[in-house]
Amino acid sequence: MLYVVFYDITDNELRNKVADFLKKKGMRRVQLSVFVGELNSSRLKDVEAGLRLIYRKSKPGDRFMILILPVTDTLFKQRIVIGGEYREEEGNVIW
Amino acid sequence: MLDKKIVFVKDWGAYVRVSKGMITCVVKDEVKWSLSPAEISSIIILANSSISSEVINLANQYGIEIVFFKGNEPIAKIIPASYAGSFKLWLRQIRAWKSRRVNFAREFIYGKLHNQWVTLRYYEKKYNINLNSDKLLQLEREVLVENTVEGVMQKEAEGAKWYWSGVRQLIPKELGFKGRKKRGEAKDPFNVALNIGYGMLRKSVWGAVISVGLNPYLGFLHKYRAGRPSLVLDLMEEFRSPFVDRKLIGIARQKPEDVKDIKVIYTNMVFEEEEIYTQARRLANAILHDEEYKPYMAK
Repeated sequence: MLYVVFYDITDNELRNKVADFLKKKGMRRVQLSVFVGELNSSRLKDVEAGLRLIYRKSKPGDRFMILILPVTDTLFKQRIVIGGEYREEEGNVIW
Repeated sequence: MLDKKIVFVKDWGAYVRVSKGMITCVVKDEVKWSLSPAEISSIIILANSSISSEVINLANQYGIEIVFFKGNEPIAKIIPASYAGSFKLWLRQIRAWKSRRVNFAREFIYGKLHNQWVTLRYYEKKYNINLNSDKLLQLEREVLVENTVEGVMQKEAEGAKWYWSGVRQLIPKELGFKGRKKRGEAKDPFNVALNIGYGMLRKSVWGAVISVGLNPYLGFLHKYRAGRPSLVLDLMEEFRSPFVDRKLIGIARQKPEDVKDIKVIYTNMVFEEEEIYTQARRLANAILHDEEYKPYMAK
């Protein structure tokens, strides 16, 4: 299943931690605070656990919200993109 | 967008290692790339470099293919220790080699000739020229009644003559392509590009043959020789023209100078692996269930 991870985090350090963590787990950035990736159930648990650990470090009063949304391939293909998708790396071949 | 990535290690002295869970390629303290193992499908090593055993470990966990090239040829591939093929299939393969060698050889070449015909025919129609594609069509029919492997190979050789003289007419003169040369003799850029393409194709077919559990060393058309992956060479025949030649002819005609750029050639030679896997599965099924084998027919 594909999962979309959205986050809204005020603390810069924690926000970077979350982004690095998601990247490490093989998710791809589609917007500055949105990642998409294919996860099986064990890898989903792993991602969830990792994000909860980072959440524990947040201070009370700070905004720290993460939404993990499952979406089917078919539905994802029907996405509407306006103004182009954010891409860190072009193409699937790295030379 | 979510397809996995193929990474090339092409810098001399590169060091591929694991750093904070990411597979990272470093050249002289400069990080060339750093990717999560979950998003890599293959690591292709083209130059002298070092690879850490931790990378091998992670690659094994995530099913990443690691292939080493030397001079456009894949020379080694990492196969997990848990891989043992299917012994039943190997035995069947030996049995098929004894009883149905010529049937398989014939189908491989039938597919090859057909696909070569498709390539030439495309350009004949497009530009309303004659490249003698009808000769290939004729050979395609003739090969079906051959009942020796030698006879089949003779048809293949005859087809190659017509095919390459047709391709020669399609390649811009400035590339100096006089005809297909064997590995080692190829000096002109189009021949070199073909060798790179066939090297990449061999890598893909090799992976497919192994993953369906066939023994890569026992072929039907190509004779067995120690260390030669004859079955891989057999299965490659039907894909050469549609997967490699067609793309390269296209590049040569559109932008001849690109043929000299090995980056362009390598990165264009990444194939629809699904087709190759399907074909390997068909071959395994034909061997296992004593069925007829149907080659890949290009459109």
